[in-house]
Amino acid sequence: MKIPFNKPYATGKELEYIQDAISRGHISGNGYYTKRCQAYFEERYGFKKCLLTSSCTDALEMAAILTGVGPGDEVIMPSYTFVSTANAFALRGARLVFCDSRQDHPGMDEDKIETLITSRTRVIVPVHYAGVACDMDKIMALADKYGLFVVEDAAQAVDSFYNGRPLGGIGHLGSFSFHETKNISSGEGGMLVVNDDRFIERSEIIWEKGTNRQAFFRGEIDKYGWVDIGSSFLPSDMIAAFLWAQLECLDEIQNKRKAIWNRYYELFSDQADELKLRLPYIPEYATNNAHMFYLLANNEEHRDALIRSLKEKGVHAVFHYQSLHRSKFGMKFSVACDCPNADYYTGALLRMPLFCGLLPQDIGLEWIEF
Amino acid sequence: MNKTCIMQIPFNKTYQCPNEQVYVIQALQFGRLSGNNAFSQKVQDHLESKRGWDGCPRVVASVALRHFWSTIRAGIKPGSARLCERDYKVVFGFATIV
Repeated sequence: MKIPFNKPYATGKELEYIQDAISRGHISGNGYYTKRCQAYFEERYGFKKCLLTSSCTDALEMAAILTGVGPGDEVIMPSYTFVSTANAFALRGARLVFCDSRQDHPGMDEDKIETLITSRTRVIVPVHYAGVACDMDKIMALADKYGLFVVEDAAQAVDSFYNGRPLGGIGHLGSFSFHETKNISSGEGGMLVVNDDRFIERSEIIWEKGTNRQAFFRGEIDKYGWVDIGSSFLPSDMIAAFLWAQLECLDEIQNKRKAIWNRYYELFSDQADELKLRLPYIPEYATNNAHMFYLLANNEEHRDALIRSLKEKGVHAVFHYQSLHRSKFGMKFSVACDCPNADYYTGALLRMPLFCGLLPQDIGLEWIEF
Repeated sequence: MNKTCIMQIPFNKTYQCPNEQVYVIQALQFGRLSGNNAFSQKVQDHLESKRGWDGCPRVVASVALRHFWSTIRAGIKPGSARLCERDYKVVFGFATIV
């Protein structure tokens, strides 16, 4: 492919910081660079407590443990999402209740959530698809009304906002991904954000394999032991060193990605009607962090034809999620439901290449001669 | 009196082989930094063919995750506990889900 779908971006400082982590003699978790990255997010976005994890999947699994869900409990989440959103809660034995997407956006339809709430509902998991915020005021109001926890799946939503508030910092808990396809990457990587004081102490314990090791390091106790369930959710400090090199260039990376996104938008907006394509919609309350540029075709046949046409031109465009309410495994854990909009996005959504090394001028008019 | 002292002999010191940086650069050049790519495969192949670790060794983020995987493979359900042989060689692990 002349234009790959994604290409990891290196800022140039990654190896230097990895070497520095090694020189510091601490390459396991919670070292110098881990603390630096966590402090960066806490200071820049005002997140109460940040814990780097090996993946966003890990962060979601930690969140699921913290909310205390178990067999018999129900968790509401969009059907149009990645499997990790669902797995985290399925692993706790919870029943999944899938919510349909909005008509104007692949994110969950906030107006449908209340009809899905029962006496067994414990958690709502809004997923900020493409880094575009769900209507968090509506979701938090429902959480307040019914006494539910909100876990924001902000895997794609670094540096994105809802009415001026950073995503991942609005719900009780939030999770981010630093997978190689994300704006800021460490290959694999993630982060749990704890916004509710009640979870802070336990989050550190779960993060450290169920031990009170962090309290020991702070000198609060004279020895540490096994006090809860947990796992090794910490990434190596070499991973954090890589991430730090990226965070230092966050604004530069975001500007580059936004220029590419805008180029796509301008290019396609003139032709959209003629090509029978819909462009991404960004509600007034949301910002665009340029995580993804997608097009919406009429249906799966139309979308797949576009993918083939782009492939012939050397451009690697891809489809995205398969709605979970239709998946064999999802049906085992979920309440039966219809999600026609999620089905539509499964068939119609087309993701265009978007990575930092791609230049706006690389995106040619000939791409859209379908 | 200042109680802080710098250890002349630390408990542990990370050992660096000649090629770590070279391989990180190569991974970057491959254009794939996420999991289960060229170097994961290399490590797994090495363990299997050169070291004789049969049973499809899989590189994971930590040994804790390996235990977690074992609980799923062993079909352990919430509330139960079982002594299970891990399918990596070297150790036996006591895996439990509370």
